[in-house]
Amino acid sequence: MGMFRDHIYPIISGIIIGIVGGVLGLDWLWISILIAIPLAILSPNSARAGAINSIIASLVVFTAPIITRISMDPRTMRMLDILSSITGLSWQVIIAIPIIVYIVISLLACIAIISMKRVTIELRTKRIG
Amino acid sequence: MGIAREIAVMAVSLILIILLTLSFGSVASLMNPYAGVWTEIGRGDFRGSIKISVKGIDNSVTVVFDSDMVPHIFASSWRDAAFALGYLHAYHRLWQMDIQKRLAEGRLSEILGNSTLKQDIYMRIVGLYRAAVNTTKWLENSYPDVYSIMAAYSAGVNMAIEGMKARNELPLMFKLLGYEPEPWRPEDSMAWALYMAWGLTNFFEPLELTYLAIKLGPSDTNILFPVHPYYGDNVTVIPGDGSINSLRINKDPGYLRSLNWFSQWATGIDLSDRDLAQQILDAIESILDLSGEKPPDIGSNNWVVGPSRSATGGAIMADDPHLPLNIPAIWYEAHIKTPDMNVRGVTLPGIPFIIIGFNEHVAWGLTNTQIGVMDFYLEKISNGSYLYNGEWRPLKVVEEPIRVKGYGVYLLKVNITANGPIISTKGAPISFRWVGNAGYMNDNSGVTRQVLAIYLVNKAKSYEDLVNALRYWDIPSQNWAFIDRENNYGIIIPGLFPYRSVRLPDGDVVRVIGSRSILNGSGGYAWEGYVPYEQIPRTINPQRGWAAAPNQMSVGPYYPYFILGSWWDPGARAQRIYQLLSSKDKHSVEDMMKYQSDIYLWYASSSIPTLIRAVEGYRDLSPVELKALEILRSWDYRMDKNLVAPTIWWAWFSALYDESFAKIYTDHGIKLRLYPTEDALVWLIHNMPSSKWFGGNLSDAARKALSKAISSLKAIYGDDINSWVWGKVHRLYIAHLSGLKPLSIEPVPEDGASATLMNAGFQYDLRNLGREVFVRTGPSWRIIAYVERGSIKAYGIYPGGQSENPVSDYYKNFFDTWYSYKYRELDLPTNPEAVRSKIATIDIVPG
Repeated sequence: MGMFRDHIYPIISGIIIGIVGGVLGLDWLWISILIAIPLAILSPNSARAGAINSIIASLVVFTAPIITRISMDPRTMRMLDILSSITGLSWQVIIAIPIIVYIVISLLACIAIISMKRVTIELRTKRIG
Repeated sequence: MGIAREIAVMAVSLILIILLTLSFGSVASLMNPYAGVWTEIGRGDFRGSIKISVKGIDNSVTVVFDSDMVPHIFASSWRDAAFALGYLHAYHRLWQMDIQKRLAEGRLSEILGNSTLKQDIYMRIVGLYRAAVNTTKWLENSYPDVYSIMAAYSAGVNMAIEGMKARNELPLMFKLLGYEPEPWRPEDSMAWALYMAWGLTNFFEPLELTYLAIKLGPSDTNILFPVHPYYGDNVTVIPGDGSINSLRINKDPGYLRSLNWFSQWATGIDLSDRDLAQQILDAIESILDLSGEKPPDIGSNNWVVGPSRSATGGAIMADDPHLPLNIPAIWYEAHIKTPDMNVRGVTLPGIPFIIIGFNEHVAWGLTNTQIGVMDFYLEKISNGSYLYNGEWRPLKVVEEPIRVKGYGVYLLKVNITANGPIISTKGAPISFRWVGNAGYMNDNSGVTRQVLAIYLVNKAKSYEDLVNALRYWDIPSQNWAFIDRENNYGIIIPGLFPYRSVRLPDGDVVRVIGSRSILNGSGGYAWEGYVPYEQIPRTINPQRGWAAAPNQMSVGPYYPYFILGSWWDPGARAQRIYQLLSSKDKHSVEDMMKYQSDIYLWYASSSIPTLIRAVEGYRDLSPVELKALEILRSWDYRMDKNLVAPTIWWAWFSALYDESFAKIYTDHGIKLRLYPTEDALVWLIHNMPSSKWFGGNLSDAARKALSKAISSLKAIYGDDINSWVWGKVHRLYIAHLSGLKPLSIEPVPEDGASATLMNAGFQYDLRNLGREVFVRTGPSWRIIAYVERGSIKAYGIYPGGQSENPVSDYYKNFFDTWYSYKYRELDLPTNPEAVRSKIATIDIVPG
């Protein structure tokens, strides 16, 4: 039960929100931050748990469409080859760099929101005390 | 303590987010799995049935795509068809349209920054956009029905832009460069049409010849650059001596050709004044620097054969315009069917008409005329005024703010005199007058009517309609080859040809077109008007049964106007097509295909025997040199990429160029590589073998050149002469418009040469050996149209593909067919069901 509450629910909610944001055509930055919001709210108030959840959720949100495209449409690999020739990087690196950026931003956003949650709780506790 | 720590964590996280966004934001956007480059992948590859509802059309339009992604547009009016064409152009070529528009309007720096500022300054001085705005206004007021086609086209483009933006489907180049397209306007279409015209008529030869006349002297300049080509008179576009409607020039052409047109009587300028000459030289260098390098060997072929000389008894037309070859290609193929028109051919993305093609009644093809329609004037300027016809007039100053990415705004002030904009940036003030700026009324309005002409041509129902339409074809002057379904055929040379009167040294006055030198801009050398349409050269159903116009001399020397600005092709392609068309009685469509891919080099055939005779007596020829001569002796003068002989010829002729001109040019302080065209060198070989150009002895010069050529080839390609095949030296590279190699077509060995019918532009320059120098110009579109049982049929092909999307199956699918000299059949289906091998249908309905 703890596993579901602490990880599965937040991750699924993050994935759903992220995919909806993507389908709506939002910018990657907003998707990364959107993913972090339900994650941070639903995750336990621990930076570690939030970080694990956000990494898993954003990894799914950002890699799933690319893997799907590569497997469904051979023109995707042509595009990767072109980008690879333009940049001089391998296609794996081309895919990996931005995904790492998305994940890190999602993670940072998640940590920031969890910190905000903690501050709120702390202040509320002090006021009650 | 706890709160402070949490706030610190929050702050650090936010700062890191901002830093990451700033550092990787553009890369992250580009690779966004939802909205990044991936959305480009399927753009424009239409499949199945699609229905879209739009505002801006009157009735439904059906677009059927065949298996080459060529759209067949069925509409109830041309206006609706133009809307659909705009939509398709944008879906398949939006970035190309945008970058071309920016090039024409001098707005590249807005997206590319400082690196393109010089190019933008140049285009702002030329003022194509100013002319485009005026022409669009004129069209809207004078021909609202034609304007409405342009407006509908723009609306179609804009609908596609909005759709692509909404779906994050903007083409890859927008994403790579990080900008978005603006809405398209009719002025943008007009600007691109004018850019094409500018590119085909901006002959800077009067500047170059003035430069040479000052440095080298008028006499030598006239030898190297004769008034009319040395081998031009017998292969003119229009058969005959040039007289028209019983009018002929009242002077002996031989006398006119022999005159020194750099003299003060001809130009109003004393080039022997050393201070003035230096100022002019400085100005010329500044102009040539500003304008940049022009692509070499822009030209084209076309010819027509009448029923008496056709194997099938029906007229045949062949046309292949030689232009810079890029990907995406300059052309986009389309078929448009409306109740009063059924037309197919190639369009220019950005312009809603078929430029070269055919309808059910006529077929037409264009080549460049290459008659001077631009003169340069030396101005007298003082305190913001210029001297003109004895009075000082204030300069017109036009402010042109140029936005430069990363730098702000560069404010350019263009000074304009009665002659035109001042284009020199150093030395003497030199302006230029170009028909595109002067306008069809010669009133500096910049209003020209070629859009009206092409609209009428697309609708022509007979050759008479076509000829009548072309009275509005102002610029660029072109050789229009045509046939109609009644088997009429011919060539007409419409355009605005400015003339002025010149008093000759003997006191007589002649009317001349163009100039060979800078002219005095203070009056007395201005254009008086344009050649009336009735006196425009033409040949219709000529007796000999054919006519041809591969950019050679347009008319015989007795044409009523002396053509001084004669920047014609020297005529090797003309000589060859004359040879081919005279070689047999009847020609088939297959023959026409062979002629378009013909790689016989007339210059080689007309000089190799003489050159071999000149050197074969030398006893010190090395075994490789002897072998080279043996190979040349048995050569059939075909520039075949698999043969060694073309390489030897090219290297030898290139070395002979250097041997003949390099030292003399250096001695005279000539920094520009202004070598004469091949015909002049061939003429010197035959007519002045003991001249200073060959150091007094052609044999010695040819011997030295052969030695230099062979040693250069050995140094690059090794000792085995059998490995020196032409395809190693002569390679075709079709580069992406951005210059990005991964989006370009890999270099391939190529047949031909600059002067073969199968044009493949390549300079005679030994320095090119072993360097990344490629063929970059050639047949941008090949079409052969013919009459069969009263109907017009056609074949065509261009290098590239319909889509600019680099991962599309239609990005370069035409290339292999074009490269192997094959064609695609072009038909004119009359309804959507009749389109063969269809792959998709779009129904555009009024919304």
